[in-house]
Amino acid sequence: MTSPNRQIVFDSVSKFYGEVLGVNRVSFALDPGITSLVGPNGSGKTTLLNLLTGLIKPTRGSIHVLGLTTGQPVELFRQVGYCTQFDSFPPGSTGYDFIFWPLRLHGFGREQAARLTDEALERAGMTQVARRKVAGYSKGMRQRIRLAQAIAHHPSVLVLDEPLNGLDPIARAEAIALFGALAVQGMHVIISSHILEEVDRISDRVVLMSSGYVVAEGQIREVRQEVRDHPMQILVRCSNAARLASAAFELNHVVEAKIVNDGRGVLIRTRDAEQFYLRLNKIVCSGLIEVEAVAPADDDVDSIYQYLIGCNGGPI
Amino acid sequence: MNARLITRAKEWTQEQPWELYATQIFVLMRNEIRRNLFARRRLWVYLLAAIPVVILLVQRAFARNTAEPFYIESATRVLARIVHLYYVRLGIFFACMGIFTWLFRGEVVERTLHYQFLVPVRREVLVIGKFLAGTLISIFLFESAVLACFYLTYDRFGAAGWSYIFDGPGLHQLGAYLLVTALTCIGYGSVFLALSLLFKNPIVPGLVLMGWETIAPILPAWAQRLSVTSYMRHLCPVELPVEGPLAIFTVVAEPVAPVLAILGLLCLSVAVLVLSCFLIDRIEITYTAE
Amino acid sequence: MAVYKRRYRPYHGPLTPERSRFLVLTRYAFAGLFRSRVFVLLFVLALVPTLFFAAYIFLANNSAVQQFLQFHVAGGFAVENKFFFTLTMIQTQLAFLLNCWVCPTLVAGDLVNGALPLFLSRPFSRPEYVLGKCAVIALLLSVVTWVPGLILFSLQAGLAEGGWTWSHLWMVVPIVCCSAVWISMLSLISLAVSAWVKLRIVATGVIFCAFLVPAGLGAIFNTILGTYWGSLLNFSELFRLILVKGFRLESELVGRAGLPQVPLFAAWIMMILVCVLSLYILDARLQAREVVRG
Repeated sequence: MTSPNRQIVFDSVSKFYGEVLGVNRVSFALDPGITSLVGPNGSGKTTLLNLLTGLIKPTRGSIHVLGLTTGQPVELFRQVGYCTQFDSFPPGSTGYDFIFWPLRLHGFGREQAARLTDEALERAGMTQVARRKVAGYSKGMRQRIRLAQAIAHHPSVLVLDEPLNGLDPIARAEAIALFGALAVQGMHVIISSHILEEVDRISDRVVLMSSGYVVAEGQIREVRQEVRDHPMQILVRCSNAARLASAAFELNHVVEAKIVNDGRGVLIRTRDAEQFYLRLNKIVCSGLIEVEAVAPADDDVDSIYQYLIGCNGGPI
Repeated sequence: MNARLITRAKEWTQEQPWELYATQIFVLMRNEIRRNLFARRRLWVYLLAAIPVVILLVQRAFARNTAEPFYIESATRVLARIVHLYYVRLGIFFACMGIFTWLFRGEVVERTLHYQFLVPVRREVLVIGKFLAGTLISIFLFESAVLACFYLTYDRFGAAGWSYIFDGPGLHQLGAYLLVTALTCIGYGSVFLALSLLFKNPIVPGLVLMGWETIAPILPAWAQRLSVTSYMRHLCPVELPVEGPLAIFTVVAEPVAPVLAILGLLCLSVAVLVLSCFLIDRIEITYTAE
Repeated sequence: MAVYKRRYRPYHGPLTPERSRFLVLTRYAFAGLFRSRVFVLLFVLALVPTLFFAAYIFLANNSAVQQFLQFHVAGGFAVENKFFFTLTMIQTQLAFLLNCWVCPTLVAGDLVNGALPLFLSRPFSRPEYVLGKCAVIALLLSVVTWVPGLILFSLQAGLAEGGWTWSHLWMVVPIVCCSAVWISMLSLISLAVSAWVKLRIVATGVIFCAFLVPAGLGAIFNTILGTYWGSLLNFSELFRLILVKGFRLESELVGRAGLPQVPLFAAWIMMILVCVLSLYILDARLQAREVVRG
């Protein structure tokens, strides 16, 4: 088990804005790696990230980031970098200034701050435009300069609120690669997003949120396990689809068997995937059918999300 | 018990990274001065400080001959009015309202305050850094203006004017005006900083403060201790006669030693700054209602 | 057939008449204002002095109560032109405070949130927009200024003995007209400032500055140059001059100060100039922002 000093721990955290619920009774502990915070607009993702970084204070509960609380800003913000969703910048600042002066506030000397600034600009691909005013940047450039600022001081925890918004496909791929590289180094990378596809591919674990509540948390497969009652879809490509469908109907946990359009496969919906796989093995061994491929059709965030939150996948 | 407290205080003092705090305050001041002093939207503060200078220049342009030494006393009273009735009551008041409320509230309006909260800077250090920057800006602007007014007032008297400055009470008066200007900036600055942390729209409480400052002389002695102008009145080197429509601004009160007035105002400012340090801890980044 | 032809059904119900359409803005603005507790508090506080004046009228006309409370005022309780002059002065200053709170919320919000192009893309013209917003201030400040004045006048007329009403009826004109002049100037300056600076907090500050700083400057101008023309920058003073004339108090109030005053015609010209300038600024700023660019 990971030591609490290496974890991000939310302990029964609630936040109310007057009578409006921000998040309610959130408890989890995150290990290093990429964690995605997924939920529709207004589900409490940004509130959770702002709570984590001390921009807002919890109404109840406590938050520890690597053993530190938000009451220890000097120690905490050496460890944390936060790329917020606010698309605003200090008036008149250039991209370079935007990164350099906060580094000076960290206590870095001029030369070291300059070196770290150059390094961050390089990683974000912003070196060429660093001396231009941020006000003249495109949306993607503004997103990247914020990302550069968040990683400039080499934090152990990188918090990213909708970090891929406004990035073109190439920049998006580069950013995703960067997150992966940072996570491999043992960093905590926490990403919030409502676009499921992008986080599904890069996350080690997900936290699913809806209406201020955490509705599921863990590795995608673990979350899937949590919702056993929800029938799972399995696509079996085989030589005799009708035979497999009739065999499947004999199983109590199978709720639906549908022959796909080309007639060479069956889409099974079952409440107990493991039992179904065992049964399928027996059918195959008996030689009744020849199986070409077996694939879970919905073992991704989309389907779980749809089930838990009741929304379609994709942008919400 | 006391010894333990003293030991604890010593330990605490030694634990603090003072060098880092100093660097952070320096960087904060640099950023703030760039944002507030060298910005086009601060032009109105320059105007506020410069207008009496411009009027004095106009007066000088129309009266080219050297003024009669006989009028030095009258010019001294005019200068005292400029400093006390314009700068202390209006110019510095509104400039401080603009500069100091903008230190934090401006960052909320521009949605940039979170950048200040996401660096390893104690919020108390943030308050002090910003306050010092605001004080430096306002003192620089208004002391320059007071100096210019002083020069323009006495220079037109030629040798008599210079003699009044160096051989008479002129230099002492100048020192007093500069002290009053600096203290007013500090006093109003601290109050407006606190107001900006207390209220979303600190302008309305600002006007209440103006009302308070106006009626302070008729309040009981303890209440007068909470007014910036009450302290300033005791430091005025020239007694202003009560006359005309400006009478409302001038009230005679029991004299207080200048040292006490200075210390009183500084204590008041420190108390308000300590309050601001508590208030800043309450601030959350929501940006919704602005 | 395009899809929308099957699904789109235009509105056939009754429309707000064109002439009174600007009042839609007024109605919604009032609804928004009364949702603010601070506004309600300010509004109520602005009416508190009226209660004291009403109590004074009651006391002045009731000798039994005077005797019971053992009140003795030299020269007796007088409800004359000076009484209504004081009432109007106090209420107009409170109206100024209320206006500083209300005005920036009316226009600045629309500008910051980009609502202006939305309004003007409806069958609303720019003058109607201004009229709609001005109506809010006019109605609100009327309730605080001349309406209490007239109510108190009616109260006094009802309580006073015969003859008072007819001999003092001329006072209705300064109560209403002078308040209207002040309201017009206040609303135009404040709306122009709000449209100029956009941000509410800044607009509130600039409105205060627009009234107080020129007044101070005028005083300094007078002090340095030994003149009285600097008073033209003091809008409250200009209004006071007009009010003094309106309530026929020149000999009593102007003479008492013993100082030369700005001529009345200059005060009028200055106030008209300020109103015209404000209207010009307001129109220019709204015109500049009625189209979305970029």
